[in-house]
Amino acid sequence: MALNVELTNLFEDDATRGVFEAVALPRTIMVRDLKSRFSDDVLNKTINRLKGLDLIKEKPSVIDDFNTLYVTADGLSAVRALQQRSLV
Amino acid sequence: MLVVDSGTAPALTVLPAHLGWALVFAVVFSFVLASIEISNVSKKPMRSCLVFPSFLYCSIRAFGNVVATLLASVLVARIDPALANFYWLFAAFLGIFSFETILKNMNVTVAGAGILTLQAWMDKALNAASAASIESDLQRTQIDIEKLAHRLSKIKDEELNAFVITYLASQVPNIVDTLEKAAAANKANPRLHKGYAVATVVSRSQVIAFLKEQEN
Repeated sequence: MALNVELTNLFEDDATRGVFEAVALPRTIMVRDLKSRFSDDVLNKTINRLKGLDLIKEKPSVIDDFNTLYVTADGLSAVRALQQRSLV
Repeated sequence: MLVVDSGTAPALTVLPAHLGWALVFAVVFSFVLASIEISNVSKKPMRSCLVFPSFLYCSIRAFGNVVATLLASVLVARIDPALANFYWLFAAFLGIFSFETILKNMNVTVAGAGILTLQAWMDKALNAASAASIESDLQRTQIDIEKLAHRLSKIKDEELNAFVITYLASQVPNIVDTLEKAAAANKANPRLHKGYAVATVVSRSQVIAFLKEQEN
């Protein structure tokens, strides 16, 4: 998959790419594990953007911090494209 | 050799005897390779990869390998007859690896634009299978959590609260109060609610060890 313009612009932002990598490389991650690496503002903004583009999804839990984020098929394609560009 | 008698025409050799075994081997090997690939991409155990998109990906791969094996068998039939017993193995091996080569190099273009890049389409099928495996694994985990939460909800309040505090207090302040208030606000069983929280965060082996202690 070649990165389209929207995704290319998205991943030019280091924080967004960082959050995406943090979810996509292990395939699944709990929100609390992301909170130790990124600020709440960055997380809220980027998670919603990534979810909006269907690159990641969120499985709810009893406590919000324990929600699980996981990568979708489109997200896996994006990871492959980033790896081909040696960006991941 | 299977021989087709076409009436007045001379007997025509169409299927070498080893072909049946070669095709079986190619199909089985395709499924094994595809399963390993899906598990590797999704980073989930094989048992989570038993989903329909995986079957679809395995089938596409098997189809390609079968066609390549059929083609390879024609070449293999020309190898030294002393090795005839292994024709099926050579045909399957050649077929599977030649299909890999075709996948990586075949790119049909019209006016400079790629219209059929086999590898790209196989990647899409692989990603779909891997994503389905990831979701399947999460569902399996959720079922485990539900079973553990129900067992935890039968533990006495004092013991359950102690377990909750031990593992969750450092991550969420006033965790017992928070969970009990959330359960009350939703008219839910507080012990079951706490059970869900603990089963979600604490490793399965630790929860089971705790349950065994309490249930004995």
